[in-house]
Amino acid sequence: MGQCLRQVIMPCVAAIAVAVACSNRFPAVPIAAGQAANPPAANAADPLPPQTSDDVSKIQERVTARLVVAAPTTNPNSRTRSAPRPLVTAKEAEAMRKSAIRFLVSRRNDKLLWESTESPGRESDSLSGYRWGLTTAASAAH
Amino acid sequence: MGIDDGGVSRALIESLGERHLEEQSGQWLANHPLSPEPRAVLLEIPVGPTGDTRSKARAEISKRIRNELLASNLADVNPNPILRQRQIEGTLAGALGLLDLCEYKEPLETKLLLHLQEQWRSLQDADGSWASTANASRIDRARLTAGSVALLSLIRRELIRAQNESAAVDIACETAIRRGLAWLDSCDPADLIHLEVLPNLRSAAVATGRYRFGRIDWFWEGMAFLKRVQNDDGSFGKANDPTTRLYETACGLHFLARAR
Repeated sequence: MGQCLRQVIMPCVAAIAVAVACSNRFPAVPIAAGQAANPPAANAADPLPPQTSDDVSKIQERVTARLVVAAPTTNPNSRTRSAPRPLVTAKEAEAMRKSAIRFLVSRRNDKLLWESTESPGRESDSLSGYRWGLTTAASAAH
Repeated sequence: MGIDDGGVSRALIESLGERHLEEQSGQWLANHPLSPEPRAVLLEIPVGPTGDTRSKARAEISKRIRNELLASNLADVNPNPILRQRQIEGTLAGALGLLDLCEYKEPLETKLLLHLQEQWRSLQDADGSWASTANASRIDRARLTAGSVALLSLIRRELIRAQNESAAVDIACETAIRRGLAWLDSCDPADLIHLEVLPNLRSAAVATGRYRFGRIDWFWEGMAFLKRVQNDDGSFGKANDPTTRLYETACGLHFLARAR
């Protein structure tokens, strides 16, 4: 499975990320600290995707806004009845992100990254994952 | 080259492109024969070259992938399980990549969208999930099902955008998405909140507007999970194999990319 993971799955997800990185699909949406996300969108009771282009746009905006981590808060509109929300602040999320990027950057001169494991002339699987991580980060950075 | 306070330096990204791709100048496209899987071609979109070079290359690759996807026939099952897995995973990645690109650029042809929709719907298992191999693990199944729900939902969005109302209300497609979501809703948290699954889960959530899958708040639980599994060196996961560690770190970073 590990071999399949490296040879098949990683390049696949990398492809998506490269496309997103090239497209810069979601601009960063500023959100005030502590501001709760919009009310939950459709869930199990109403699982269908939106019906019109406008609806799609609105949902995408809501989800994008939610992807910006606000300070820990309790959303009274949340239907979640499980444990309280984990406390991950915007500052912590940023630190996690930078730390992960540093790890990838620190590996950029590893021989492993530049050695092909499939066939001559092909980039290594490691490089695919590495590039995927960086291009994802790039798409978020501008 | 470091990371400034404003985020990732774009120069860093371009240095990677310079090293790997710009050395080959404009010849890289000519030197890279079309790979059997669209994902492999899409991977070769240059990160470094900017402006016209980048746009031109992207347009060229996009055209190639469109043609490959249009000619693809997933009903033609490859007896080799590895090749079959590549066929399915590659088609999914290529299609999702194209749909990402087409959102604000050129729309995909209705013919291609309907072809993909039909092909992908036919791969759905009786329980509502998707898998690329018969003996796929629960996590592999969750990863592919999340990606598939995202794919069908995005195709539906594009059909609506093209104002092809007759295609947009395809009941079979609606049912496939609904069944896929129901399968995800039935998953245990450990199946979904996993480094390999999180990127596709996020795509599915964005495409469908979901905040939760079952009782799982994918965003907050995903964030908490990443916080737990991040190592001191910044990597994610416990894999000893350096390749897997890189891959899992990229997965985590992909999820975190917008979380700021």
